[in-house]
Amino acid sequence: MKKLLVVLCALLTTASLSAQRTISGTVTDENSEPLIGANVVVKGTTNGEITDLDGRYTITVPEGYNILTISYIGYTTQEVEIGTQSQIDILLVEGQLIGEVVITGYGVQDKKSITGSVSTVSAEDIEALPIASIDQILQGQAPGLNILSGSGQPGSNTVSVVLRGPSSIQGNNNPIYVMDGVQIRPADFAALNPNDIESISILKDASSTAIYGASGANGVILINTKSGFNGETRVSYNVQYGSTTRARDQFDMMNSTEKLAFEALARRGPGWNLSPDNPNNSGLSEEELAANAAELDRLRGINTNWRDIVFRSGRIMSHNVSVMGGDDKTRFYIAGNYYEEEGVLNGSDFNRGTLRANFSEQVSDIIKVGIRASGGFGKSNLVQSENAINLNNPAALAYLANPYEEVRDADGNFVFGATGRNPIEEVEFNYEEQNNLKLLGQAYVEVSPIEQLTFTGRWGVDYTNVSSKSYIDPNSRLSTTVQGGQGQLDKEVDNTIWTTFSHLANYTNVFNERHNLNVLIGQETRKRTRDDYSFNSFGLTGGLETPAAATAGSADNPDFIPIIAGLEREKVLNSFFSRLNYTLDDKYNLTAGIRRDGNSVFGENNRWGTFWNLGASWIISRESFLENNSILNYLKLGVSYGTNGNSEGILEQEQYTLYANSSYAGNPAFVPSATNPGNPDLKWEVLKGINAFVEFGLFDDFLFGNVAYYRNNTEDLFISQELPRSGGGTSLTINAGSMRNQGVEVELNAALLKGDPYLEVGVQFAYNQNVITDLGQVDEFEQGTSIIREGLSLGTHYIEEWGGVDPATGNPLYIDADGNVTDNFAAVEPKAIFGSNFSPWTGGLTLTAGYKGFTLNVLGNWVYGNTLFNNQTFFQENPNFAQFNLSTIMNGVWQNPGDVTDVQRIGTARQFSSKDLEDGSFFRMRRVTLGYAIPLQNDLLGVFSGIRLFVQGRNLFTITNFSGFDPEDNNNIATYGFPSARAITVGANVDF
Amino acid sequence: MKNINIIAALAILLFFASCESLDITPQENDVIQPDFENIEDLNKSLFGIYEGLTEEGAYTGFLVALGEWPADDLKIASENTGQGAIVHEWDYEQGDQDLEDCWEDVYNVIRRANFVILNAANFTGENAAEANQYRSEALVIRGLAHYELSKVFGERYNGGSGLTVPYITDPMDIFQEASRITYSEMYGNIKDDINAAIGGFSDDFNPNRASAALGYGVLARIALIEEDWSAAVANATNAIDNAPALADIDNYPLMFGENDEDGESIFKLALDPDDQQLNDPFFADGVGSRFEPSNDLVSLYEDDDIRLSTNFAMLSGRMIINKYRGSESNRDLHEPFIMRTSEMYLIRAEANAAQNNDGDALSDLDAIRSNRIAGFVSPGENGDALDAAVILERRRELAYEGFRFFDIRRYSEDVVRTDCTSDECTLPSDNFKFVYPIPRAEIFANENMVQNDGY
Repeated sequence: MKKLLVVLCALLTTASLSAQRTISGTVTDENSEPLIGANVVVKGTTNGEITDLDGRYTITVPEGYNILTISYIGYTTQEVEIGTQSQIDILLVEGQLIGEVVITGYGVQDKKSITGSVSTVSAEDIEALPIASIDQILQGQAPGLNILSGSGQPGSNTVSVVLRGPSSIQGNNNPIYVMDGVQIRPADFAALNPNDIESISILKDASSTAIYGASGANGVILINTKSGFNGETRVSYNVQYGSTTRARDQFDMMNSTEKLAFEALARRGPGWNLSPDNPNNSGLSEEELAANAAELDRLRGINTNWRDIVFRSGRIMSHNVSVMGGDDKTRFYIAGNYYEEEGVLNGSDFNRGTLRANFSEQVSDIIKVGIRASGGFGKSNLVQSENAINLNNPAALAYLANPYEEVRDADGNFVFGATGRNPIEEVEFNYEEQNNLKLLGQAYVEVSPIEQLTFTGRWGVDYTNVSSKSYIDPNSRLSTTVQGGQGQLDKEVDNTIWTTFSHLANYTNVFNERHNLNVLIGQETRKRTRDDYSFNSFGLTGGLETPAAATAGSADNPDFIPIIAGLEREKVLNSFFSRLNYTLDDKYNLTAGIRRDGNSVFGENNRWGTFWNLGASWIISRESFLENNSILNYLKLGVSYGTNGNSEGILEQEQYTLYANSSYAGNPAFVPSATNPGNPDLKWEVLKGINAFVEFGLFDDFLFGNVAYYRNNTEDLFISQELPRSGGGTSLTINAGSMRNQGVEVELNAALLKGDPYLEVGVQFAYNQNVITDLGQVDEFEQGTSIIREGLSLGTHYIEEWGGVDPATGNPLYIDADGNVTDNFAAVEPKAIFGSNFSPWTGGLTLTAGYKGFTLNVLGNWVYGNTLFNNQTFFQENPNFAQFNLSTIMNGVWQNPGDVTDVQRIGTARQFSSKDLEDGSFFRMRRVTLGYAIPLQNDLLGVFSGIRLFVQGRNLFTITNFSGFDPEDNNNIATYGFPSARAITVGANVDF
Repeated sequence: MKNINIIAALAILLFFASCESLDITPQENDVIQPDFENIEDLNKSLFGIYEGLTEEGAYTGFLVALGEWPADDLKIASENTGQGAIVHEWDYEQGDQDLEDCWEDVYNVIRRANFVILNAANFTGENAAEANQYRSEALVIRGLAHYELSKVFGERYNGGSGLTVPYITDPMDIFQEASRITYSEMYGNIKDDINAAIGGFSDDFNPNRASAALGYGVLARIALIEEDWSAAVANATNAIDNAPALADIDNYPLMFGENDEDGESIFKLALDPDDQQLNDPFFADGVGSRFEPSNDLVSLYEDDDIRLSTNFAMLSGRMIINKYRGSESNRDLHEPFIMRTSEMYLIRAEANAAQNNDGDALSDLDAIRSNRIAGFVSPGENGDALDAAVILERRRELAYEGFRFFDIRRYSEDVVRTDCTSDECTLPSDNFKFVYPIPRAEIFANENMVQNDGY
């Protein structure tokens, strides 16, 4: 070992003698406006810098390199010979729109040399959006990335992120997120500050993600945060205020007159009890009948609009301060953010504070060290029973509370109507809150003993503490439903720590000026520990809202005995990987990679797996026959293949035969689990995917675009296999199924106007076909209201077909397997012909325009071709739920033979059927931002270097046929979810 | 500068460091890996077997109810909201959850027993005797469980050629698709298990655990089905010799009373307060009867029979099944009797009567009757009258303990309900519904499983 040290030291000493140069300058456009965020790269290295807000850069050039490559989206990339210069100012010409450096797995790469499909999102696409969470901010930002939020609760984790179709049936479909090279937990994004983000890369194809091996099957989202720069320190302040409202209504519920009339028909409720037609009222006197009529009139006059009581207009506010700068050795970025948003449902809100400090120091010629740290604290107040078919859910009460019932009676007391709940009372007494503390930190060392070789050691941690509290006041109505009937206080604390240790060696060199070689070798160890405990306590006394209020409970009052639970889990992933990138003549690119992963969640037999990839691309437009072609100015083809894994969704203990504690006759007992008999042979789900794309620019990049085709087969899918019960087990997760996603993504952008004014429009669409190809033991099984069947898409709805209402009898009709119409529901089999909740078509559109300091940014996205199960209509379009308010559709209920209607007779059983399935397609205007940069002669008052004012709208409008509050849902069923809100804000960016 | 280079060297060295162990033991509630080298963990696993017998699919529920609901000792009550109604009206089919639970829970017990049998062999030296005792208990329970499953899900005995259920001995292979075997094979296996176990029991008798008496009792039950009368007499005698004495007229009601006394129990499960309530199939406190006693049974008791006041009670003017009402503070929680000494007397009486040893048979029969009926004077039956008296006594003595339906089948009689509140009041003796279907979940996952006729 001593010898090795000596050798290494000798090597390092030699290496440190080689000289480096520092070059600085400014990048501007033709109008001498600085270009912010332009890439400056030393050609032949991965050494790159990004220009600051003044367009300035400073870059260290290793010995032996003499060319800088400067690129910026929308501009022609330039190469500049350095020679003896130390100050190089560059003027970039608009035109060439492809030519930037992008973050890829464990490194950065010139986008032109990439062989797979990578979408990038830059800071300006997402900056200052009034959205709390990064995952929701990515909605509509990349073709093939379908992000659906299931909740309008600000900062909610209820988001489905699916890249290029769902690839797992029982596992997890979420991509992984890597921030500054460290994988982070794919949740709690609300505790991070989106304004800290410099750029995001979305690795979509199996070859690009293969460097993440066993974790990459669902795609990889790489997030890099901002760094400082060499130059005068810049302070920026961004502020915005605004308000949120219900995004969209399709809310047609009965008014009091209609509802009371329906009750008379349905023979229940006050509409019937007070009716002169009610035989119970036949003996009443004239006065009594008149009193009944007067009471009915009074009720008709009430007309409480519960929707307006449950919903409100919320406030939104954001402050963001950042300080960045540095010198030739030191770079820093420090930022703080405060964000606050009130949900549109009463009782819901969210606020967050974050701090980030990114710092790096070139300690010596060969050593660079840095830290990146962020701390965020988010606090949410949640509504009761969110997204549940439950009368505690205020969104359900908006529909179901009767219009003739009031919030408070004449004495000011709360009224509990037919629902037994009062949403205002609920908010006044009870609450549910959640606090998220997230600390992200990493330290890194980069050592370059020789200029072509860099070692990087990175040690990162992601700590999340989620603590939730639910308080049910003993005096509240809800208290009557809890154990012991005297209030309930629940708490849960979950600590999750992910640590990552990664060590990389990166070698880059150019041989004979035409062979560009980059080799990466790396090792990484990730460890996740989770520690969770919770209690439910009962019998609250003394007016306290802490655990001290709980009654201890004993054998005599067992209802008050608290319930305590908890767990500790740990899992480890060890990985070794290597990748080679080779470019010949700047035209022919080749990538090959391999990764070996060992995962502790699997049994010894299958712990280790190997994943690999191969890709090639060819920039045809650099061939002589296309050079200077006036129509086709850029053309690139790429094709790749890769294998990935997925282990998310498998619990740490699934490899073991589990035993639970129990007791017999007072003796402790062990009982083996029948539902988890253990599978030591369980292994990764494996995705094998090919990808091919063509990238082109036409008419000097007037029109540029990208068309990609992919086919991903996932094999060894986790499937719950039914076991012979005689063996003592019930079911077991095994690797059995396979599924295929294939599709096409098209992205087209047109630069209609360049210069000032400028106008760019873009459209993107993606088609994905998902087919389950194998399920192992069975051909199909039912999962909730959907069927998992070979040959069909995941999420295919499975339900009896609605056949209308028989005009003669008013009975509901169904269509059986042979197409016959029948009113015998029991004789009808469900059908799988109503589509899936996973939409095959997705897409978006963008527009950016500017003129004399005014800018306009528009982003909309759409999903098309999916169906959603509307569980809500089962209640509000059901003649048997006449105790609650009903949809106005119910005014057309069948009453007499000959009535042609779609609403069945009162008294007939209301079954779930295809009537409850609705087209879930929608277009949503995600963002419209109108900005104006105030022209400043020099620095205004010597203080401000830039002021930009803006007004923006989020979810301005939605086009859909879906009848619920919101077609956007993270699953296949609408269950009185918290609808997305529309927000309109005004704000300013001020640079000092 | 030199220091910095050393730092650099160290950083590179770190490159070769780190890699965490992938062997992680789960730390969670209900996530335990027993150490089968440790006698305490073997002991806990043994109690896990008994815990399994307290599941609803086993003796606190369906193993008892499936022998009573379809028979003639009870009638459906007006408060019944569906519990047992399908079984009572002989409408069961292979998808019924009650049947699946029974199959699943009892096979679970067998798997637990198999773990103990497998791992008890690890012990030598000071813990060997202890481990052998556990092994013996597990073997007897494995025999009992297979006997019960054969009774519920097996075909008719048919001279030993009828199909029973799979006989399972390997707890590790959860994928095994085992086949059904005949009664001859099954009973042969059970006898081997019990005979291998009986020598391993210590002399301490505990009615809450398997014992030599239980082993002999199971052998006696089997012999009765096999009509191997001498074996039935011998095994019943062995059981009686190892079992508590017959409860007398004073002690009998205490077994079904407030304190759940053991009395003449050969095997009875101990319940914890939160265990499944045995009375659930018949009666639910605060709800009312699911099934009421039928007059067909009630009328069979003489006025001075202590069982009349023990088995039945009046509540709100209506008669209820009172055998498992539990205590005032924990209504409906009653420890189930799996075997009592009186059953052994009845088996011996039946076997002796079948061999025309009428004197011996009458003596056992009178032993029961004189301990149940105040002032009992033996009528001294013989011949057919004695046979009928033994069958009558069996019905009176073992009412609501899960025997009746299978006894009717064994006697090849019809189920005839004269006091009947259901639409269905008669099940002819040749009807296929005398055999329950194999649950669908087993058929689905086990290629080798064959369904019973008619389903």
